[in-house]
Amino acid sequence: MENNSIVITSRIRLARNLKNYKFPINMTEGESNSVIQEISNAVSKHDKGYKLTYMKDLSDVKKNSLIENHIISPALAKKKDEGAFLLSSDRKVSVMINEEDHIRIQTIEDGLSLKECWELSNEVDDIIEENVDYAFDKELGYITACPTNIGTGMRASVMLHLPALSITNQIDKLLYGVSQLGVAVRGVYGEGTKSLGHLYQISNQGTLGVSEETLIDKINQIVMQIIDKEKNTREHLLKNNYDDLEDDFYRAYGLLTNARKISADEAMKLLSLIKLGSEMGITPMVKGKNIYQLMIWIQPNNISTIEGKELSAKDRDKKRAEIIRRELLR
Amino acid sequence: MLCNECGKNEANVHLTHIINGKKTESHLCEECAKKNQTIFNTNFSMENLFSAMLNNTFNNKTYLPARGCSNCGMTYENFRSTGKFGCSHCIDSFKGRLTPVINSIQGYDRHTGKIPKRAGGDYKVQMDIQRLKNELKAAVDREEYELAAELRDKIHELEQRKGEV
Repeated sequence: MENNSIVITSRIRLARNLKNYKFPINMTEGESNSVIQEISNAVSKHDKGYKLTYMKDLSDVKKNSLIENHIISPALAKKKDEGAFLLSSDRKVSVMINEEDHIRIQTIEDGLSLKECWELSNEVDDIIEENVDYAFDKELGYITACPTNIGTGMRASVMLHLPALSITNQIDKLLYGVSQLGVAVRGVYGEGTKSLGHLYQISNQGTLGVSEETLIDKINQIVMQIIDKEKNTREHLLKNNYDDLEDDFYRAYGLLTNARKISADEAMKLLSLIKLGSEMGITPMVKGKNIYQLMIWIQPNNISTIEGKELSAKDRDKKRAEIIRRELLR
Repeated sequence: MLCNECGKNEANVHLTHIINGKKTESHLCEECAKKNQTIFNTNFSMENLFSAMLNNTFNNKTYLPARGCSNCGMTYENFRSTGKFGCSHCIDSFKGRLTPVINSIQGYDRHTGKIPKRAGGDYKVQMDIQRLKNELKAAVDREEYELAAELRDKIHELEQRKGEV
């Protein structure tokens, strides 16, 4: 069993601000435009084929679809007049402009790769700083609009797929435990503590007083422990509950490949099961298929985007079932 | 499962409350959930909690209403209610009072991470020298003299640069 199947992606986000501009909350339209100009000029020095997109040019569906793909944050989508973002051609780096802070550099890589993300973010950060004046304080570090981000301005997060721990009801206890270690945990899709598709995001809470490398080491250590627990639970299930599991997986597969309409909630739950089944070697017909990618595609706004027009909830459920059947039976 | 409240419709809203570590669950139908809307408006976001903390810390009246930030005009009252600064200069305007709050939310009051090349200026060079000196000491302790010599040269180089920044 690969660690990669449990860790989906790693992400680093750096918050930065320009010294000579008020923070986005306080800016005039003229100021926000000059910030966008200044930052996109600076980022263009990084040879990654960045494309600048203004929030005001995007429909709500398109914005939400970018959120579902983790390219922009919900907070940026709300900045409909002053927000913009730069996306590298490989989609690994996105620089959000005029969200809560002037600059939010975000890098995403597959698997457990916070170090690689940090190196890339750090590189982008250095290039930007060559051309703009950052707000930095010797004692408090990088100055951010919200004091909860001050210091390194860094949020390191890892997305994990933890179906075995969820099915066996161990997840709440585990997540409570890690939250005692200064780490925040939340469901990736779905509101509040309930997670759709057993996808969880683990990230550092504090940003001050600890170096970036130390924070990353800490998250890595915690993630490695969670991976171990998930793996052990999978082995335990395989040994003790094979018949039930096999039945659950095949039922899930049967529903997914036959349903004519399906809600995002139900689909996420079932997809999570067949992903687990495939990783445990029980449902071979799913092997080699990117189930996580499918989980993203079937989010409400992504379906509308794929279809090229806004769909009603009922039509989305039909379209979702169709996409899933097509991908699984291909 | 049927709704806990009306007992008639299928429950499709599931709520978990954790109050003082005690967990209670309720399962409601859409109708009853709508009536209980207030529960959804409870916002425990980091920012909300933070601004609540600010209010608690500064409720004592010994702090006089502050002048606004000299750069953006943001007043302390404003900062207290939103939990957000108006510009990077607010830090200096509110600094004295900010330290205990930052300490209580972050657990630390001093940055030890990355220092930007330009904005960090002399301070970065100074901290780099400090870091290299620590490494040098460790190298000498381990009797790695070749590495120690390299580090010594780097420190020398940085010390010369310090004046120029």
